[in-house]
Amino acid sequence: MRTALLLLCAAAALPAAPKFYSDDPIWKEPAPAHVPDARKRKISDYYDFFLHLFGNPGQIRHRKPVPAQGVNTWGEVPDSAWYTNRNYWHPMTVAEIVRGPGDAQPPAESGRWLVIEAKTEGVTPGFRIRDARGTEYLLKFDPLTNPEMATAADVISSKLFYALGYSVPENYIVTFPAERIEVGDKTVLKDALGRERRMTANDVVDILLNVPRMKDGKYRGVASRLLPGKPLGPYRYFGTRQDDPNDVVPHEHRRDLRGLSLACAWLGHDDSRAINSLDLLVEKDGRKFVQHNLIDFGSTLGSASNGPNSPRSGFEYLWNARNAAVQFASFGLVVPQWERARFPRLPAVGRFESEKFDAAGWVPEYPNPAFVNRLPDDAFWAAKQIMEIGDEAIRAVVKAGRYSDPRAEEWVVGRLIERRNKIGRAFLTAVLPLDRFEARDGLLTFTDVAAKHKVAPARTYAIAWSRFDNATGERTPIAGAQGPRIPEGGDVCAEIRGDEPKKTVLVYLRAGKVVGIERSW
Amino acid sequence: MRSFVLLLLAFGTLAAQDSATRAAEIEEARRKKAAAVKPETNTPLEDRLIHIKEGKVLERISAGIGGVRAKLGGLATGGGFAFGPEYLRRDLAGGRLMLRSAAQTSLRLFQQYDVHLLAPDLAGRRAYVDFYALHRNFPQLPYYGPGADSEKNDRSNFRLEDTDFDAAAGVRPFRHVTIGGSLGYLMVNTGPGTDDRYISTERKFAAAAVPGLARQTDFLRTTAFLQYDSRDIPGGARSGGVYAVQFRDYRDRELKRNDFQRLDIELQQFIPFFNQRRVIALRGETTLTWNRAGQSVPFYLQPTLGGSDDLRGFRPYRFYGDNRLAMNAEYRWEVFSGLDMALFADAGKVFQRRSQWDFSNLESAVGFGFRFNVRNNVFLRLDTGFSHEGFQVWFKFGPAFAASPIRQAGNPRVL
Repeated sequence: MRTALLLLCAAAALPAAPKFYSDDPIWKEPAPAHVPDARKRKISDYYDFFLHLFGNPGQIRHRKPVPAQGVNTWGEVPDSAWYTNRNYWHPMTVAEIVRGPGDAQPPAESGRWLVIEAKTEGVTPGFRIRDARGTEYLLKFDPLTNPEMATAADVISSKLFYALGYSVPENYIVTFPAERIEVGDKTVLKDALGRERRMTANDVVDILLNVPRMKDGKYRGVASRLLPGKPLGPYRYFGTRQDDPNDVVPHEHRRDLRGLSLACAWLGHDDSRAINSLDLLVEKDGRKFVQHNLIDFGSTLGSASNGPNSPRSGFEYLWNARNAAVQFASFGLVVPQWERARFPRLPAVGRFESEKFDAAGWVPEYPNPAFVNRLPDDAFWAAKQIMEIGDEAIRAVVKAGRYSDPRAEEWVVGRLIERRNKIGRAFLTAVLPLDRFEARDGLLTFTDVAAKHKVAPARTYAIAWSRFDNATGERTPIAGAQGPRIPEGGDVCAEIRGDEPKKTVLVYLRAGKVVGIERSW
Repeated sequence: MRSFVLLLLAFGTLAAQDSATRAAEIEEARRKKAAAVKPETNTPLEDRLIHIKEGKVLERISAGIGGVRAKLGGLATGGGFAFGPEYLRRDLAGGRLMLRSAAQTSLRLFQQYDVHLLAPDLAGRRAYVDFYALHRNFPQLPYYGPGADSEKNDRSNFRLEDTDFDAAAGVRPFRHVTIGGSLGYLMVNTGPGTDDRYISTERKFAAAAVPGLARQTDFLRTTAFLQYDSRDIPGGARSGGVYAVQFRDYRDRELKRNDFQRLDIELQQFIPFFNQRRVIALRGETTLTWNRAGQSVPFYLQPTLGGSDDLRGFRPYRFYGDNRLAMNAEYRWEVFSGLDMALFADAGKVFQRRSQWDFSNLESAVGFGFRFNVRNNVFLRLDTGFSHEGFQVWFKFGPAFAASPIRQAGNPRVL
């Protein structure tokens, strides 16, 4: 009903708004409105779990798909507090991809690391530390059973998410002797009952007993540099922040969040839920605004942070009534494909594979409204970016995870390449895989992304031209205007077709400039 | 048209229609939102759940007030629902010492009082010491007569009253390996059972046929054990195994008629397949006793068979004998991440002479069960076992095969 009303509003607005403005397509949203303050908001894990499993929060597509929002007239996501166009439109060197959000400020190796806060509960212990330079980090560790697994995953995935355009913290693999950790005079520890007491050196010893020790007696961890700004808590994958005037697009309809599903599928980030995001109130050029970040990638690449991920990860939600009924009734004789997946006997890898990986069917632990709403054009937008990260970059990024076992490194590289290619095969051809349109020397040029990445053979496409009225959007065919040559004069539109009639791309040009792209499938 | 609507939905519908640029349209949408901003809030339910988690309300309830809390269950099977206060402190000596004490009674007036003092992580978690004291008064334990030939219809009941002190120490020299020993003193008294539905044991069976029935005694008990435990998750194992052997020497300090030695061997193996979503769980367990001429194993210290953890199609304590052999096999499959189901088969027997240790004349049971888990740890088990003596339904907290005869820091209540 809400969708229908919105569409009616949109339709009613048609006569008054031109199809394209003079600044289309915009590649950067206007500077954000000033947000004087915003309240920190927490969420409940359990509430989030049950709400998404049974509550269908947000505007979820049922019968009628809802097109993505927060995009420019090319269907691209403008730079904003959510997203920054990086490797696809502004090719990054391998070194830049490896550098990710930053690689110049690891914790200082000289001097002690002062523990400001400690996490002793649960199965993934950690510290918040301040190094000799006064920079703060979250120091996280691997589980005893799987040295290097979660720390490597955290570093590798953060760099790849960054290259894909998302905001993430700087993560560093660090090794250190126990003596480097020093407890601050005022550092308090919360025990299992939430009671605070002063933290002591013995507490550090206790925590490090739960951490794998390297052969040289040192400990390995991932130091995640604290992001600047006032933490406001996670963002949800539906609705908007009520206190953020810049947050005008429902999150379940943001293309960057819908497309995030493919990045999560690629990296095995089944823990892609609100709790692993962080809103920060940051200040830039005297203006405060809410920056949206992804955090905590210890549960990627086959890791569940506290051990190998479940083999179910990515294949089924934690609860699926139909599958549970089948297992209940069949005495387990029905064996899902994922139960036959083969995983390496490499503790540093966890359960990460590519053979059974189903790019189109991949799911996180429980439904994510943005992922559920994903449409083929959202997927194309994400897939073309993932495919743009080449083998060499993948190899270099995985090396940054500093696996001590070369077999682990090789396995992760191989799986990332194969999973990336599966994503390309699944999604690039769901729409006409044409992109990077340009008007050059009187011709309309474009790239067949599927052919470029060898997921489909090169094809020929038919182009038919029409004139369009920018005030009404109406198109009038130009008799005999076929092929790549752009008709002269006025606003024109190219309709491109392949051998599948439903799949078309409309490319709008004004004054010899591509101003709009519309896909149908 | 699709993108046109899309664009309007994106930035336009909230904006003034006369925006000259896309940027102006976006800014107009923001201005409208700014006029209506309000503090970010949660639903009251979510706020309550956050409060419960952050305030550690469940942990505090579980921990009680000042360490005092309610303890439910945990007495002998058949004793009825048990409850009582428990005092638990895990924060003594900077968290290096645990003290637990409980006083429980059940609906059938079973009583148990115990104190457990444990230093679980000495020498960098390579050693532990503990002290355990226990007093039990179970007024109506079932007894069906000695040996494998006892009849279901011969059920009687007796009172078991015992007091036990035990000090233990163990070391973990290697990964998975624990070696330990203990020294204890056990005082036992038995008496007429209070369950009117069944005859009292001393009236049903001749004292000559049931060692220890007429007179009870005190024991000095020494124990040595060795255990190799490679289970992946002890609370819900899917791979690995437990191999344990324990030797105990009981010295009769009063009557000098009940000296005996007892050897317990337990083997558990978990064989996963289909990525550990299917598991074959196997357990073999045997208890053998030795006694010199003129000495006997009193019935109240004899191994028993029948119940929720061995022969699940039989009543608890269905068989008593000097020696015991029990075997269990389970096929478990995951229904969803929080529930496994199981088909199981149990077999076992009690026998008088060690030379009768073989696989003949086994009692058997089959059944099915449900195992509910949180983070792979089974917290609730519902098993139904069938045998030629009928069927039994077991509702238990914790995983199957949890009742080990081996004295460990976390399992001190082994008499």
